Amino acid sequence: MDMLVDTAQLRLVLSTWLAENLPSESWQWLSQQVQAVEHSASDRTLFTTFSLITRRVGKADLCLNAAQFATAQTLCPGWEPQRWSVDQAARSWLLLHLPQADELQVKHRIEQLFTTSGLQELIALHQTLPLLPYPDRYRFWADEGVRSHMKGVFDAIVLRNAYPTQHFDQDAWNQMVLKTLFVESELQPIYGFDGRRNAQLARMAIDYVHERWAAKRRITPELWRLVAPYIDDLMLVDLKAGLAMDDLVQREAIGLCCVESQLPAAIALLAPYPGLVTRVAAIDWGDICARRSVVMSADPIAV
Amino acid sequence: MTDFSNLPQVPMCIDPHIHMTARTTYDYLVMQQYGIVAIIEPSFWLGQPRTSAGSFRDYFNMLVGWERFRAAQFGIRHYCTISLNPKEANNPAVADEVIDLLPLYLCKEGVVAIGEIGYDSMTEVEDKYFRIQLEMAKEFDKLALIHTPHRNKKAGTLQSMAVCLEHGIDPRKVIVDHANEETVKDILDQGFWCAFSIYPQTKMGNERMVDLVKQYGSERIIVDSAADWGISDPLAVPKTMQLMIDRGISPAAAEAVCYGNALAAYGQSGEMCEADWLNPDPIDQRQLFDGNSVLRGQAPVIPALSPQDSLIIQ
Repeated sequence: MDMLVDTAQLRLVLSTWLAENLPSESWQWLSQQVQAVEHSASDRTLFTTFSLITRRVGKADLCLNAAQFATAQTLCPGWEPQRWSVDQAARSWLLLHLPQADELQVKHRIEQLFTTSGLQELIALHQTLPLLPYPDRYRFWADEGVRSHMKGVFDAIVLRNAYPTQHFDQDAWNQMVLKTLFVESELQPIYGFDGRRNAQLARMAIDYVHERWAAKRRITPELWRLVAPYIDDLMLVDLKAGLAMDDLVQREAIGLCCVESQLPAAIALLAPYPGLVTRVAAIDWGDICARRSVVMSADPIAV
Repeated sequence: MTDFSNLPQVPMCIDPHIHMTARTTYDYLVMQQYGIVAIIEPSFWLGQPRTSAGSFRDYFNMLVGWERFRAAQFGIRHYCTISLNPKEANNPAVADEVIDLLPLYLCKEGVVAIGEIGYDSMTEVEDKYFRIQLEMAKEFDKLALIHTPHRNKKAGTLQSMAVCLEHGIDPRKVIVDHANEETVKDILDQGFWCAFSIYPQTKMGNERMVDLVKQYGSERIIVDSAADWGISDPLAVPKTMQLMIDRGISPAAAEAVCYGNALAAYGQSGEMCEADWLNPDPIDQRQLFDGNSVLRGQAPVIPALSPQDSLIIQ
């Protein structure tokens, strides 16, 4: 499923936002460089501009109003540029001007950028992948981002990014979500999360729970969101055990999982905990995500 | 979560020359506890020569990527210098390709200088690549970090400075490193920044360093560890700072040589300023420091690690 993003529209909105957000001197420099890259074959201009952007435009937050954010959502689902900085927006805007006529050339240039980039440059590249024309050409680099051990880079491709759900098959998706658990990033911002839940991933999540509990280590409470639609008899045992633990956020997450499953046997597990049922009725997975740090920073679990 | 509440408040310091690719993440933890807030990692050789330019590219990627991330986890700001080092300049087949790579890296964020450059065995080919890179420093408006040779140090230091001046480089834009009692006066007299590497057995000891500051003052003098894969000490700067204060050097002078001067010298690059660690940009807070403030007096939240001297490993 390859959703085509309107490049002309993207260029237009990004240029409008950047013009509003940048001092005139920075904006002039950036416009000139982007024009040069659009109309010249010089690789050096592209690479030095790409690197120099932070120095020339700074790293302030990109300020957008509600209408501009709504426009972003319309152009590319899952895009949250109001969380970007001006240099990230500028790098995206530059990349959207790469000449596309010669497929080999543009693929080679993107490869060169990925293989010579620093931390912030890699983040900008991964954020931009779903916005690029012919995004399926860059699947290898998205995979490399998921393999990255630099958390900012990993988060840039996995969170608030439509690329994985649009281009990853189930195995790649499942490995990505599992790694998100391992590196303790949030699950809530994974775009298309609920729609990609599957029985195999629920099983992998439960195996991970067993492993962590055996080591007396905590798990992120968001994990139970993966389990909700696929609860089986074996998992009921784990849900029951989790509900008995001294860990309020995790108990709320399991409560939410049971309610969402609509499975009578799962809902019955909540009967001994009327207070929890009341709390669960008032929260959603976003609240669990917001409070996950409470769990992750606590002492090892008591057995 | 590691509890820092009972740690003494240590003064901030900068280690402007340390090769972290050769060190463990545990070193970062301890460096952070000893007050190191920023480090500069010069590109150098790895202990044996690289056989292709691709190895250099991956090494440069580590300096601007992985190491920056590793340091940030401990609230430490990581900067680097990029160059073809003098030892490996002696393989022209690889060296030419590395020179072609440098423009891709020199204008990246956090690259504060071209370096380490200079001489190892003072060969003609080392001289050729030293000069090429000094011209690049001018072209890209970069500072230069000079590695002075271990053997034939005095002659090598004098020649390095003479070549810089011959190429029209402003000495205030050059840091001459691995200085000692024999070279310090010439370096300071000619207006260059003078850096000392506190490195056991081979370079400078910190008791000698205290005497040097007593004799020459603190102006334009910088202390670093040059810690690498050898028997070296990543805590050399904070330890030297403490020793200076213990032996009667004023706290202001100790702070200058262990913090302020490195910031003043490398701050000229426009790529390094105090706000980077005192008040990081919001985007860095979100993506680099994982939302944790590294403001002074507020310990960053770091992964729970048991001290290595503890019997229990959790």
